[in-house]
Amino acid sequence: MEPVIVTRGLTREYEGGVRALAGIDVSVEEGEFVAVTGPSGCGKSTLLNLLGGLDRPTAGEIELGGRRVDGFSEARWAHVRRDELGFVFQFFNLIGNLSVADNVELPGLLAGLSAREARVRRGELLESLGIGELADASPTRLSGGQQQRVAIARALINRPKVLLADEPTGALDSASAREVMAVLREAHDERGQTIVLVTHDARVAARADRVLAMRDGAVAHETRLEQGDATSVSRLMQLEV
Amino acid sequence: MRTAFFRLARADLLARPGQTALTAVAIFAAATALVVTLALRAGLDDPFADAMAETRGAHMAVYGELSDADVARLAALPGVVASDVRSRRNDQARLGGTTVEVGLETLPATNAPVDRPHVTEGRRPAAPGELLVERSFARETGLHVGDRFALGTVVGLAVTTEQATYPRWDPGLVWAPAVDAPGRRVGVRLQDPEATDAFAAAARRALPGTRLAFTDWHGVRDTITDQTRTNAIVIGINTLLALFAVGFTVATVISGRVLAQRREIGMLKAVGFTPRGVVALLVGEYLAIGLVAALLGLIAGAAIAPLLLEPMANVLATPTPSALRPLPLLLALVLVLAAVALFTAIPALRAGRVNTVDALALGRAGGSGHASRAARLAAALRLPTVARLGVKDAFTSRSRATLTIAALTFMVVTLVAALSVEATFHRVIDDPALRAKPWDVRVEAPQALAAVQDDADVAAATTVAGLQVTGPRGELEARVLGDGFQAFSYAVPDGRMFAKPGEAIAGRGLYDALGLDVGDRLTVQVSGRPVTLTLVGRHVEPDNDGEVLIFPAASLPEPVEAAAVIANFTPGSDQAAAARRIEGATGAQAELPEEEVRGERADIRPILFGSSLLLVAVGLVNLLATLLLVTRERARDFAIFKAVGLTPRGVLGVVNAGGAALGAIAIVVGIPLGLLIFRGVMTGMNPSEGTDVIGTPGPFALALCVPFVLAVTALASFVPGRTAARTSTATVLRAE
Amino acid sequence: MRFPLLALLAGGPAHGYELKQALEQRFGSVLPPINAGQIYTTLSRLERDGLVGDDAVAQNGRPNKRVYSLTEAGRAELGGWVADATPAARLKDDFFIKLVLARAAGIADPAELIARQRDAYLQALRELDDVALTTNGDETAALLIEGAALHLEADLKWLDLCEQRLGS
Ligand SMILES: Nc1ncnc2c1ncn2[C@@H]1O[C@H](COP(=O)(O)OP(=O)(O)O)[C@@H](O)[C@H]1O
Ligand SMILES: [Mg+2]
Repeated sequence: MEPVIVTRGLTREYEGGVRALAGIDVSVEEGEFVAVTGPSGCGKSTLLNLLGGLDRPTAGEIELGGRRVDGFSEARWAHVRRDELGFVFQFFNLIGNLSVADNVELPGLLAGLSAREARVRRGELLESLGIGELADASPTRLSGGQQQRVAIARALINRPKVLLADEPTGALDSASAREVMAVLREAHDERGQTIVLVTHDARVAARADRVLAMRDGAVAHETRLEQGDATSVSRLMQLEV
Repeated sequence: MRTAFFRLARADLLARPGQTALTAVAIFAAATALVVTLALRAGLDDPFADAMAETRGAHMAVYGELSDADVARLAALPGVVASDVRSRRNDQARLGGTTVEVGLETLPATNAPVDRPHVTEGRRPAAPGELLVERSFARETGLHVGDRFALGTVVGLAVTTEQATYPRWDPGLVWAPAVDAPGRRVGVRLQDPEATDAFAAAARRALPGTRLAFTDWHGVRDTITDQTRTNAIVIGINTLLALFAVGFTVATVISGRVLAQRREIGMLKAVGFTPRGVVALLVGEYLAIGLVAALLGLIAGAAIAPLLLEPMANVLATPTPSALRPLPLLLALVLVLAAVALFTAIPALRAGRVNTVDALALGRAGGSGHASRAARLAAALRLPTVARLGVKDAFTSRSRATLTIAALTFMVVTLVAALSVEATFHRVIDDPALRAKPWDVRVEAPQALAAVQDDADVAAATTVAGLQVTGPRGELEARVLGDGFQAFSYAVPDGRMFAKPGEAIAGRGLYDALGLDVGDRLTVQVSGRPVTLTLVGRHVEPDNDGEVLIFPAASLPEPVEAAAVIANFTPGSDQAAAARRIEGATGAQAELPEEEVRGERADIRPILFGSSLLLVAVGLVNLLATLLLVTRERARDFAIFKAVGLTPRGVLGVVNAGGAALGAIAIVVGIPLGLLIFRGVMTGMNPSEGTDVIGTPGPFALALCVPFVLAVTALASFVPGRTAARTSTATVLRAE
Repeated sequence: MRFPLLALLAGGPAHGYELKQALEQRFGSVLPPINAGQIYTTLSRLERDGLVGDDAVAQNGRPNKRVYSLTEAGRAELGGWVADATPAARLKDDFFIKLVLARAAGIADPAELIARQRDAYLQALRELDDVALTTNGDETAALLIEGAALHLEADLKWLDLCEQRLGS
């Protein structure tokens, strides 16, 4: 398997000496689902922002799809984001004055899709996320779970190499969180979507292929998870009668 | 409580130093513009009154060969409160190749009780051979401080209300330290300035047998005011616009910011502020900024004002008024602060009424998600995505879009008004008939008709005379044209030009004053004999409020003495050269009305451009503030745009496209509005001629507005756009 | 297994095989395979304690089929079980004992112990989640899995606490 993302010694210090990231080395393979967990303030969002070029490292390298991107200009990063990355945030960050359809089509249109193609893709995506009927609604009128699904659709419209998600279920009640996770799981399990997801929810992290536990700006521990199978079922069901 | 207010206000102002500074700059600019405007206005209200006060102008001047005893008698007449006497003689001098009449007077003392010339340039003469020259005379004859001519050396220029501006009033005035002459001029100030006729009668009774000539201050005033009417209108328009500008700037900048603060207001209410408390807090906050900025603005205004006041004083023939008078300054301060308080309170009240929960939710998401009409249009036009986003973005908030459009529209109106003034001048220059001067040249020598007719370039010539006739309601000013009047066609918007003796045209003022219509008959007394005239048309008449009657001299029972010769040149001839030739042949001055208007335009241009520039600058600050606010408010959206792959240039594009969309509306609204406002002001300020002489800028001139607005929006969008493009996405989205 | 059988009998008399089927039907896939002998042993103990009675039903050529029913004492015993709150499941924890003792004895790195335990819990959580996807509308199973998952999540959080306080 080819690594899609590789970082070496990725470091980010803020003014005032806060070391949010202290030399992170991670490698994410194509089709892999990596979860990043850790206590609040340990640098998870910082890592994700660096991977998406929303923030610049103080030191270290980032490779995306085999090429160095850490030195890219703002404009080149923008192209990388629109063509190769999809972002999902904790608070959805939909544009309130654009309709759901417009929000989803926006990155597609920016990336040069024809209006027709963008419309078709948006239709399929919303349909597959179960919110096809909300295309003309305003995002402000939707529930949190619906908004996050719109945000995921927006992140996926350009069929990104990697989906970056920062606490996508953090602002949701458990039922909505379940719906959103189901959408992400499907994207990964059925379409092989590479995902890097930050979460503090163990249940969400448990869906990943690999869990990176961060402490104080570094990866403290890494867990590989195996798919559960039928034989493990009875082992788990310890119902004693 | 007070501590809480103070802390909150300070924290709020310091939290956004950029916005605070911009608000201050906007108020500063507004205050500056206001001071300049009020100073200009003060000079405008009654320029002549100012000048009278400044120079202690005589209400009545008596000329004659007077003994000291005569002078004492005059000074002792009832109603005289002050008097001054000086020697005077008429002389001639060759200046710039022509001989001009000069009135040479003894220089009054600096503390003379009556008629102190006000030195505007250079100094008072101290030694024999040094001269002080009246300013309009110096300008007309090209004299400068330091020049020498037959009478002496010019050491200073001065303005006076002894007489109106040269060459309308001649001879030109020159003062010397000592003048040896039998003639004297006694200037008196009267208890009742209106009692000039009574004084003249008393003077004649007191000095029977002495030849006396009088100058009534009313005559001086009428000439000056008539002559400067157009300029006064232009200044008036611009001052009106400046008042708009001030209200507007303060309104947009502050309202915009307060509206953007709705979230904070929600928080304040959440912690227990009453809506009244919120309003008090915000008003106090902005008044504090306003006070500082306005005071600085007053200083700047007082410093800038003379730059505009001086050319205005030249135009109005008055001494340069001071911009430092306390009353206008105080008025400016009060106006600005009142505007600040008002335009803070209104949006704050509105914001205070917003449901707290909604207000708190504002930061996160807003808008309806429904495409505005403009956005739908943009979509239908198949504009590129960035442009569509820009358009959509620009119209997201109605109040914001309205503020920006208003700021831009204001600038377009300013520009259109300035262009209209230019166009009006252009029109009048092209067609002097609009000044009731339908001739190419006027020679102030009635006996020179034959000489003028002999000139090779002259196509037609006749004589013109001015006379007072008695109408049904008293004296009327009348002009009569000699034979051959058919070649001199006045501008007659209603009816037609007179074609034969017994027909007449008149200005709107006369029709209005006498309640007549075109087609009516009017009988006037000329030297005691009735003359009945048929009014066949209304002509454009700038003088005497349009109360002027014009008819062929042949309508009169006996001929009148002509005042001047008027002539038209054959097309294509060199008018200036022909005028010089005629001057040479007749020994009299040949006046080209076109030149006169040109001169007036040259006078008005610095004021027009200066004040327009000031207005545009205020508008620009205004626009910048609005756009910056908008961008700040939209920081989150821009961050999201960038997160989904919009490049920094794309962000700039979005901001610019939005600005351009608003600019397009501003052009569409502003051009007709500007034309309308100009027309309205012209008509309002000068009903007799306003509508008839208005020039409309040509399509090319109006098209100038497009690049202007685009340049202005691009300029104003540049800073906020760059800010938006540069702000770190991570930081903005983190602030959630 | 005493109380589940008493509870099943509260619905009416039944014989041993029926009881086994009823258990399997109620709990479905969550129940490990039950052998019939276990049921019969329990039933005879209950009979011995006077909590159930039985009637033999003659079957041709085969041993009598015994139909069990609840006695008055059995009904009272069942009432007590239903009425009492079930004690909290988790007051003993092998891992905790291991962690404290290994740390005291210096025979293992506590951080490593915790990390390994976390791996195990995460893996378990993952498998639970995968199983949850295959319950196909089996509400009992889904609820049981949910309960187990919540416990695991709590365990993981508790591991974080252990790490903070005992991790070094
Ligand atoms: N813009 C910033 N300026 C200064 N410190 C920051 C900034 N952003 C994040 N930090 C600090 O960096 C550390 C990591 O933050 P973050 O990556 O957001 O943590 P989390 O894991 O909760 O997402 C924290 O200590 C935080 O306070
Ligand atoms: Mg975070």
